[in-house]
Amino acid sequence: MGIAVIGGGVAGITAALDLADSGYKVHLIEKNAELGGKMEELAECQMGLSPYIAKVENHPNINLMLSSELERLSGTAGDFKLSVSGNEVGVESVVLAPGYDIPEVAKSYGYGSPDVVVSLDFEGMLKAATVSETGELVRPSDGKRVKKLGFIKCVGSRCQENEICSTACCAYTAKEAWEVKERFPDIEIYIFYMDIRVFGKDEELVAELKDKYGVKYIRSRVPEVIPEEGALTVKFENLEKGTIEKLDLDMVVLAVGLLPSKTLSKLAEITGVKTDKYGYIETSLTSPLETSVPGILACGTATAPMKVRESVAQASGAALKAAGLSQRTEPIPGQEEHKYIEVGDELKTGVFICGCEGEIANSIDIPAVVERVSELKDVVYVNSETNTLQEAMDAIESGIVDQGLNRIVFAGQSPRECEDIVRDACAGAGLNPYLLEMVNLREQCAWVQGPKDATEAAVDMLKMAVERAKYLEEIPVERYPVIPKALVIGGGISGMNAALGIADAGYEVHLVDKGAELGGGLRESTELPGPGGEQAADVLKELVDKVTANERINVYTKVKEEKVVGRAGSFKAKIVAEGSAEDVEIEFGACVIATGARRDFVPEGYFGYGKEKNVTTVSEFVKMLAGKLDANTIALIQDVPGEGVTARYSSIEVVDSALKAKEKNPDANVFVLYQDIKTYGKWEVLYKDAREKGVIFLRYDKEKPPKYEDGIVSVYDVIFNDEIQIKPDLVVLSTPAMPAEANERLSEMFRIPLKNGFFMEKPERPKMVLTPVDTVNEGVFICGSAVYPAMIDECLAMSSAAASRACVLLAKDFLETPAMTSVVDEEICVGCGVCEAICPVEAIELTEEPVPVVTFGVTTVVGRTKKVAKVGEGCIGCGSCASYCPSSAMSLKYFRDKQVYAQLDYAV
Amino acid sequence: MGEETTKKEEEEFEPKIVGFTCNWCTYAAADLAGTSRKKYPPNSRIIRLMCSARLDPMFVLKALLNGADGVFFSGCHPGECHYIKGNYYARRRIAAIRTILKQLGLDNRFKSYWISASEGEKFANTMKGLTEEIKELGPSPLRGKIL
Ligand SMILES: Cc1cc2nc3c(=O)[nH]c(=O)nc-3n(C[C@H](O)[C@H](O)[C@H](O)COP(=O)(O)OP(=O)(O)OC[C@H]3O[C@@H](n4cnc5c(N)ncnc54)[C@H](O)[C@@H]3O)c2cc1C
Ligand code: SF4
Ligand code: SF4
Repeated sequence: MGIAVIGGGVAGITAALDLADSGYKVHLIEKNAELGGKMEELAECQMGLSPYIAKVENHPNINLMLSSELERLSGTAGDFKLSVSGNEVGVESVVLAPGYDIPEVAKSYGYGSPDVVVSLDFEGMLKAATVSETGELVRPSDGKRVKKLGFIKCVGSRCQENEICSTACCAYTAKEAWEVKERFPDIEIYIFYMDIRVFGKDEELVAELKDKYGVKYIRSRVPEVIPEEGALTVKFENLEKGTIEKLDLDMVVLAVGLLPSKTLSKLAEITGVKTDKYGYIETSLTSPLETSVPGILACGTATAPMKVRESVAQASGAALKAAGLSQRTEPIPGQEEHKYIEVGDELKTGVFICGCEGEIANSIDIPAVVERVSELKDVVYVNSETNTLQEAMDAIESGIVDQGLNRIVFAGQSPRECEDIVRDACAGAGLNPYLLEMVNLREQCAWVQGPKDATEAAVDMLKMAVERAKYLEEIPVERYPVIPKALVIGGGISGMNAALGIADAGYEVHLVDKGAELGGGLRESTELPGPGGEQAADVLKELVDKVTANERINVYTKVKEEKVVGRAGSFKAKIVAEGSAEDVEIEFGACVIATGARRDFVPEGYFGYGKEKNVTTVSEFVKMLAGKLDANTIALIQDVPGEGVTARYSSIEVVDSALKAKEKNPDANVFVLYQDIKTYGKWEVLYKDAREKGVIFLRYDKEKPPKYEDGIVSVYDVIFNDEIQIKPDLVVLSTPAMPAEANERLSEMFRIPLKNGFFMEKPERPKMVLTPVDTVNEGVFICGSAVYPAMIDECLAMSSAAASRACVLLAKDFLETPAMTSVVDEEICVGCGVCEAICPVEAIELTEEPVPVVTFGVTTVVGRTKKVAKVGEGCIGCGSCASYCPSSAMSLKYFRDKQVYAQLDYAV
Repeated sequence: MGEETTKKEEEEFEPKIVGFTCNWCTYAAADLAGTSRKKYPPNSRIIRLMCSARLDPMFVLKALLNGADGVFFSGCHPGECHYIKGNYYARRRIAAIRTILKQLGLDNRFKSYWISASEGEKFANTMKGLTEEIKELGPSPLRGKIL
């Protein structure tokens, strides 16, 4: 049968693709006429999503149902019957991804004045400014350039109508401010906020905005916006200074929150899934993807407000769970063996110039370019009729099949956006995909140059490409079998969950941990945060039992993994037991890294920690809460400086334990000293509850951290604007989380870069993450706190996502060898070893080879050997060896010297 | 009169510049400059390499010998290389290239930058600045010479 995915936003698209790519039939149901959801409206994001949309539209395993809505659902897991806009669909499982809607803004904050806009509309304005004549950001009311811009955060969130925090708005406001500053450096920006709830990269972005871009973050209570003739006056209470101030601005953006999709209540009624009291699909801390109805999974902003990164992690995870209930029925695309046509000596170059829906045609005189390109030698065909990528692909295919073209030059959008798609089109038509040369006419020509210059530049760029195409060669693509096994490193909650996910999908898993027992960091915890009161031990026990009982999972404890070789689909490694010389060699097709984070940072000396016995850390305090608590005054200190990063759960843990202390001992004075309380999403109610129950929150400035002397904590509170002194019985320090010790070693072994010691995902667009568990090393996935210290629900979703991505790969029977690798010309190689020393992945080995029989006049030299370099399987195609080889024996395929020289000959 | 014509020639001098960028950082930054419609002078032709480590000194020499008025290279910031160490190697190469170019008196025509994927604005500004600088230098002495 198959799987129904409801909602075609970024979450729905991700779930559909993971499923379809691993051979499941997917019915993707979207109520709008187009895919993309809210991301289509976001300035910076739309582009990033377009290749994925193109993939969905052309996927043989996806039945795309646009402008369709679910009307009825009956049956149970394994056998659901859906009625979708009059069509009947039978599926085994369902993934709900109906997304979010933004709140209606009341006539507060001056909303109603044309110059006060909500953020989603502001994204639209940024997009419009991009393509407008002048490229300027102008005020809607009078078309004048914006000089002073304000953002008001938390609009429609953390308020009476919507108690919770919308999680994404702090970060997206930072992104919007960054985009404005990058493009219009003269615009002054003021951001009014209560807390800055950002993590990781976004935290760096906010710091950069403040320090480098001069964006003013103003901590204030709800500002008032008074529209007046030609200006907006913002009146606010400056909490830092304790004064009432006024500021005249040209435009104000309201950073509105995210609410459950308006369609959700009806959808819940039809499907029978429960919603929580905020209207989101109900899920839980320990099963973040499962709804109340077995067989129906949920993901993305329909479960809680979140960013794209978290939405897509949930989506991949939900896809894996849905797949577990379904049967694979479809072939996996790209698995058929390609037979490439013989390319003779005669060059037949075809040039395809795509208009890109007007983007290129508007600034480049395409007919003029065609005329000049047609005159070039070896160009036998020029096509400029296509307007979309799809049309261009069709044209290329028929050009190869009907006209016998054997070199393709494609000029259109950036190769970074579409090179793979164009390669597939060539391969599909039987042409070796490396006989293709791309010209970036859109991003690097049409969009950045005036019309006259653009046309000239386009001609030059095409000449370079046509010349280079002459020297392109067929690169043999070989297939190798995928080893249907996975290695999971780390036996914490994320690692175990990933292992179970992969094993349940039918693959063998090697699960390794350096510790003696499974469980990882969570073994140190007691009661989990939140009202659920679940015990960490129970959650762990359930997982450990499942893992140990699973026949497909081989658990290795007290071991270290070593000597990884190979590539996606076919890796080898050694597993070495601690203190033993013996090792086990394992083979695997994919690897999931889940090494977690360490909580053992010792704030030695800070507040007398280590010396004074009433100074402790939050993790120790949480354990104390399980017993009797005799402390009448407790001071919890957030953001204790130190190595490492602030975990996403840091504030939640502090607020939760403060609240629990207060509940346990209602007479106690519980203080929380903090810079920002980051109780994102639904955790906000915990913060509200804590305040209502009498926990006292004191905000301090980074420049004036609290002090502890003679048993007295003194803190300068920026809200009371006064120094406050507390004499606590107990001081509790919330310390940073640190990366696992193994990360450095694993980073080198698997070639995955680290940031602050944590693993980095594959970079996508500058400010957006669409593949949060994929890395630059294909076949190696990362998840959980090894990426960024996160809450259990997030670790579970992310590890299911990593398992899902691994399974997409393992589902394939074959993979193709990478094409852009180095080759050595053995005759020229003098065996100097320069390349061997320089290769970053040790892919080169010097071997002793017999020298072929050579005859010099009358003497024949035989039986000699010489050293030559051999490029092995691990080559990642960096090209170091090719540029360092002193005898030019080494070349990088597709970037050979003569290919680059050809471009150079036409570049000037 | 004579002065005037030289001045006029200078004004009309449009340098030819060749740039080598790595695929992951600077090439992406150039794309970003495009998506945000940051205009910059049309003088540079970009050659995409996968990694900055592929920058061969011969490429730079060949570009100059072909008559380019300026050549630049730009990759990821040190420590952010997609291929781990590529840009460290590139840095060493660049130093070597400079030594050779100094002897030829051409080192002021070769520039190197580190521009990451999120620095679209920086890319556009770099192109503007570079074009100005090379304009100041005037045509390459090798221009039009067949070597
Ligand atoms: C102004 C603004 C800026 C943002 N910027 C960023 C950013 O820079 N980075 C970031 O990470 N996040 C950002 N976000 C958050 C981001 O938009 C969301 O995380 C993301 O779009 C969520 O994707 P989704 O698929 O869950 O939901 P959506 O994008 O809402 O998609 C849901 C889809 O489901 C469809 N649908 C709804 N109901 C039904 C139904 N009953 N049947 C069929 N289809 C249905 C909808 O039409 C829609 O296409 C921003 C949010 C806002 C408001
Ligand atoms: S604190 Fe929460 S609701 Fe307020 S702007 Fe930040 S993310 Fe949005
Ligand atoms: S191209 Fe890079 S990875 Fe490949 S062999 Fe050469 S130096 Fe090693």
